[in-house]
Amino acid sequence: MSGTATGVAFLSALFALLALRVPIAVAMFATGAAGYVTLAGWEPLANYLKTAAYGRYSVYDLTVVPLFLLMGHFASGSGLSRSLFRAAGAFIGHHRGGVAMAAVGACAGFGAICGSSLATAATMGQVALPELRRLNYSPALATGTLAAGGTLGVLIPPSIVLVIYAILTEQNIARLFIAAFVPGSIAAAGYIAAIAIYVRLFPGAGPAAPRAPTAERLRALLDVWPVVLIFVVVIGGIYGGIFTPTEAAAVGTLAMGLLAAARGMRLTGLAQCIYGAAEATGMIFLILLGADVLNVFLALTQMPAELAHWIGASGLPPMMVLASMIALYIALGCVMDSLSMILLTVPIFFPIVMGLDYWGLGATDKAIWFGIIALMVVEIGLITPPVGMNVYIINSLARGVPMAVTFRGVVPFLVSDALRVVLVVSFPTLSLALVHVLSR
Amino acid sequence: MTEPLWRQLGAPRDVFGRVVYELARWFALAGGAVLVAISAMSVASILSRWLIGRPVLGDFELVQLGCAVSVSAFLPWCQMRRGHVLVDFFTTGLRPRDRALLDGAGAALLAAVAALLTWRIALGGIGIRQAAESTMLLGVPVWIAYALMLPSFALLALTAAHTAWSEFGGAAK
Repeated sequence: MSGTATGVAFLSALFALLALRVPIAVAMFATGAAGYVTLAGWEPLANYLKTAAYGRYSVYDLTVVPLFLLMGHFASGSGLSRSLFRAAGAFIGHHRGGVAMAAVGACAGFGAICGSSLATAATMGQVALPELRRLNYSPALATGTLAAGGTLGVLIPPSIVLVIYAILTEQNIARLFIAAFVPGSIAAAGYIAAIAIYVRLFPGAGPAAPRAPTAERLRALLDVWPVVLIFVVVIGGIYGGIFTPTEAAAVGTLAMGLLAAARGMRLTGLAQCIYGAAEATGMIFLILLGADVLNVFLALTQMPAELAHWIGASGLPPMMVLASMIALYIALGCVMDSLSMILLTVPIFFPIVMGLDYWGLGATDKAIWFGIIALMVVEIGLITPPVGMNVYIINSLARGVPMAVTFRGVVPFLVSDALRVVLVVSFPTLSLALVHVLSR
Repeated sequence: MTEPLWRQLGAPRDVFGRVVYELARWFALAGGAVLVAISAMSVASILSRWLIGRPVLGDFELVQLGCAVSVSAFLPWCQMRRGHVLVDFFTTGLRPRDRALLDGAGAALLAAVAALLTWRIALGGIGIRQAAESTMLLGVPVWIAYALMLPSFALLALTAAHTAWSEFGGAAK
């Protein structure tokens, strides 16, 4: 059997295991290991496994992942999500649909200190759903807004998915974070625009709240300035090259922990934050280990390189190749979480993209640009029917709202997502301009 | 689709389950403590770099060692919380009993993988100790990290074995 045939055979076995509810990490590990033994024998695998775990878990750049996760849990443990939502509501809540827009704004703000989509959706959902219900927002708009708003947790840096992409493709994390900034802001603006259009079409869906008095606005601002400060220090520090992403995450974690303590977090609260971060970290790192074994095997088959070569020589239009990848991501997103998708596909897709010509971009620029596109499309999977993880989270929080209603509520945001993907694909400069300015 | 992360899970009732649950919980807390310590050390290093122009010696190494140990310590807790994601899109229509059997099989496979890793990491650690490998600046022997990671992988195997055992037990009823 040729390398590529072996690769295809074991990848099929992987998908069979996945369909049979084997944990994703375990399925990757098992098929990778079995394939490796088939091609190279037991001895090299046994040797590789001696150092695989330490080798993966001690990668300096990866240490940002547990740190950012702990920081995100501190942020939700300290009630900052509520403060952010209140502050945004005090300023724009009196417009029609304004409180839903405020929820998007708060999701964006929370996403700026949290790198995970599910955590953002869950945290903001708990805070904003009762308020939206109290103000008689339509259930479709309320749940759709929060499910979509949750994806801002990943689109706006820091972003766990982007860290993993950077490590897989050996790119600079700081540059990818910079590149995500404009597309992430466009995402937030696009969601707000989607709400504005929606409430124009269905005026009853998002009634205006009473205008907040100036004193209340000031008080709300006072409540959120520490978050703003932490964001500026963490992300500004990374963008400005003052410290490494890991150092920035350490500063942010400590600052957010102290802030949470100042706002009344006690030892039990600290333990809860650690449990939450531990669970999320454990999930990610087990998948990382499984993906490593799978990728070592795939590299041995030389399938990714052959595939890239074949597609490069086939004369297929590069944009058509990219469009098929995006379609595949959206399909996969229906059944898988975004991180597993990135780990599974990037080792295969990345060499293909690098072998094709897109807008005449150089290698680094192309890697960054593709990373941002992949980031955006895997997040779309979280809110697409028939299954979207964010939709499920929000729907479980909003008791009594049928799933179909939430999926309907997500539609305007999906339209906005689709437009944004087209924009970012067509104008690489949206991702790259800030990178070029800041890394000069 | 993946398992919901937010669902409430109680501690297991059986003795085996209670023991691994408490162990996993304490491992998670210990890992968290290491993580907070890493943050504090990094911040101290940044401050020292600004103030006296010199970072804490070997700060990057300490972060790497600490992270490897701390992240491993989180793995068993994640399993106790059933946090290791799986695709349940194709099996939602199955009877609960069949799903429990599949979940039991998946957990058994995880237990086998974790046991294999425990064995290999133990051998790897011994090899690294013999080679006297140590970090560049501080000269911390790397085998210490292996030794601290080892219990976590062993506990991961035990927690997964417990999951398999309770899923099969539930399916047999």
